[in-house]
Amino acid sequence: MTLYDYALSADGYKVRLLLGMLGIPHTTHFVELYPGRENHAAWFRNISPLGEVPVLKDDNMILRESHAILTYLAASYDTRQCWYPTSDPALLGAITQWLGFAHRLGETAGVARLHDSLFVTTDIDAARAGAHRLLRMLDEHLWFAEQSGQNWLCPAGHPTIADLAAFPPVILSEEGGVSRQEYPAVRRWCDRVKRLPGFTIMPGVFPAGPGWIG
Amino acid sequence: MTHQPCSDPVIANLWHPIAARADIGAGQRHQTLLLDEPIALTIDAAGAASVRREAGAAPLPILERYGYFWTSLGDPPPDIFPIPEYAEPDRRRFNAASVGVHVSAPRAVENFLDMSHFPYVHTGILGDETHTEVKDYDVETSIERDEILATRCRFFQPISSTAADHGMEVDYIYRVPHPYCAVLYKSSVVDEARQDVIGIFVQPMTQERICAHMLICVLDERSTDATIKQFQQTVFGQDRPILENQFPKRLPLDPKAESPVRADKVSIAYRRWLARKGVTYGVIAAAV
Amino acid sequence: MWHPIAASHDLPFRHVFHAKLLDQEFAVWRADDGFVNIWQNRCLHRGVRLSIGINDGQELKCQYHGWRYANRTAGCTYIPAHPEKAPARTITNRIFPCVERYGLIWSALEAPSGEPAADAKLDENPLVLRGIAVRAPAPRVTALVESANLPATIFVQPTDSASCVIRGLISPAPDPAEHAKMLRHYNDVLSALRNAAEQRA
Repeated sequence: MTLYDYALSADGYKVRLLLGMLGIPHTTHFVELYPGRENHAAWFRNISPLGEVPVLKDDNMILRESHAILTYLAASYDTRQCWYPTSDPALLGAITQWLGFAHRLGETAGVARLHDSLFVTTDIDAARAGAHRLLRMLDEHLWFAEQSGQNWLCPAGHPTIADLAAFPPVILSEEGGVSRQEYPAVRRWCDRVKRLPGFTIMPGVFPAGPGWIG
Repeated sequence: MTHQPCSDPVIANLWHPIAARADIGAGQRHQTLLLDEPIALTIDAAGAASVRREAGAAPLPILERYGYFWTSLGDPPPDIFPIPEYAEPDRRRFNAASVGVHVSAPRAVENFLDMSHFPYVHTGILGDETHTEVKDYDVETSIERDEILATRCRFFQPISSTAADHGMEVDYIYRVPHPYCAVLYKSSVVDEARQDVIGIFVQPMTQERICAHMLICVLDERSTDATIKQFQQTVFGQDRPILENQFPKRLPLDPKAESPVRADKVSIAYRRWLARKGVTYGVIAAAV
Repeated sequence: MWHPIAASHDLPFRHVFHAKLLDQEFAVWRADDGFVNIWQNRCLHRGVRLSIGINDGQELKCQYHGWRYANRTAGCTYIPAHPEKAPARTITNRIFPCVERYGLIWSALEAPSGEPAADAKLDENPLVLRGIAVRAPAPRVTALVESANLPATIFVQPTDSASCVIRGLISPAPDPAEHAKMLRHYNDVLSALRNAAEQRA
């Protein structure tokens, strides 16, 4: 299994998180998105026509789109069928709904981060305002989930790939000038994600201290 | 929109980096901010570069050194500080990245000079929690060369560079030849007698926002450029949230404002040096 | 003057809570012995926020250089760069007053007099509503809260000149069977109030 990835990619991190938690051995091929723009080189466009990272190659299959890779890895390799329980349609629906939310986080908080760190052109005020709108909604959702004894995005009693998809753009939001000071339930959820067995960091993310998940 | 020109003559009369040549193609225009002023760097079809204030006036002075374009909004010195190692042809020489950070230039320079954070911020790479002690080192502020030099620095590093395959104690020299630029020299894994050279050249966009340009000038026969850049970007990416969570964003020059310890010798010398030079941009001057 | 700066449930095991009151940032953390620490949110070394640090149950460890500060005293106990040396006793964080009562954490910038919410005549264990962050000045929000005339005890925590947090209590607490519905109801009501306050920017 080969993962085409870039160390600072938030989308790549989503996949790295699951690979670490499932303990799946793999090799990583670094694609120099920045400054080399290697993702636009012909060889990479052959496997990822839009030049996007990450891309997963497993035997003869090539898959791009971080959320697609998460569903494939969970469905194929998670023997306990917790991360993406294919036998539970209601939960799959909920997961996919939150994958959509995670995508929107990327389009707002994620884009703000690229603007502030790599000077990518965007309407930065709109990106930040959009991120705050989503974080506000997320904080309310997580607060009420906690009230009913749920610690994760979906009401499954355990984390799913929805949590791994939303975590990177949330935890890196401050790199785009989007503070999480107003979102205490989101901050608690971030601590819980960091304490999951097999959790790994990326530049910009600090590990949690010792402690169990509530 | 009117812009307040930088009122700090020490800083305004220096050369500042604004972009890496490799990042701007021929026929392109790169807009950026320097000391609160919008400027534009243009490269013509033949590769010749010029810089102007956005307001379109006369061209600003321009120099190309170490793979970067440097400009000045005042009267700069005849040249930029020397880095003789850059001319050595067997080195890997390029810009690892030019990264925006919400912090002042002096805070970024100080972070670059600091070893005590290696076990905590760069865990498993430049340090680990079993070796946190910072052994005594020497600091010299040279009036004649107008720079600070910290020597006899050493630290245990699990992965000191892309050329390393085991942990080792690494010797470091830190040099500050410009208020907003620092260069480090660390023992090379490839050749004991030579050193890897890594520079941070900080472009002050505003007093509290920078673009950090990172020069790589190292000995490494086996890693690709991409691997070396990824290593440096990973290390700097780990520093970024620390810098962005530091307050005040400008560097306090009053020795009583923060609590340094002996390991911070070079940063104490750096703050004193900035104060003696009369730097006011990006710092909080000491109470008189 | 006492202000609520967090709810008790904002301080779960080994968490560090990032609070703000009248432009002052706090790092708030509960040690394993239950003690709630409210400290200025700045490590004394190089000014890094303590709220991104690590609560290990006994000490708060700064993320930058690993400096450790003790529960209760806020004194620095360990400087990893000089492991054999005891840190100078002067390296002690600025502590702010703390009272945990009515399911809320109360603090003040200067030494406050009296007890938090003494006039409100609250039950010991009211139902604590979800705190609502508002991007509008506290006086405007307070006026809207007052004219809403809600059957709840509402405090408006001024975080800075442009924002605040609405912290409500239902005292006495209703029957547990009613809690979920009531929390939802007040969340909706106070969120609508927040939207009204923010639109008048």
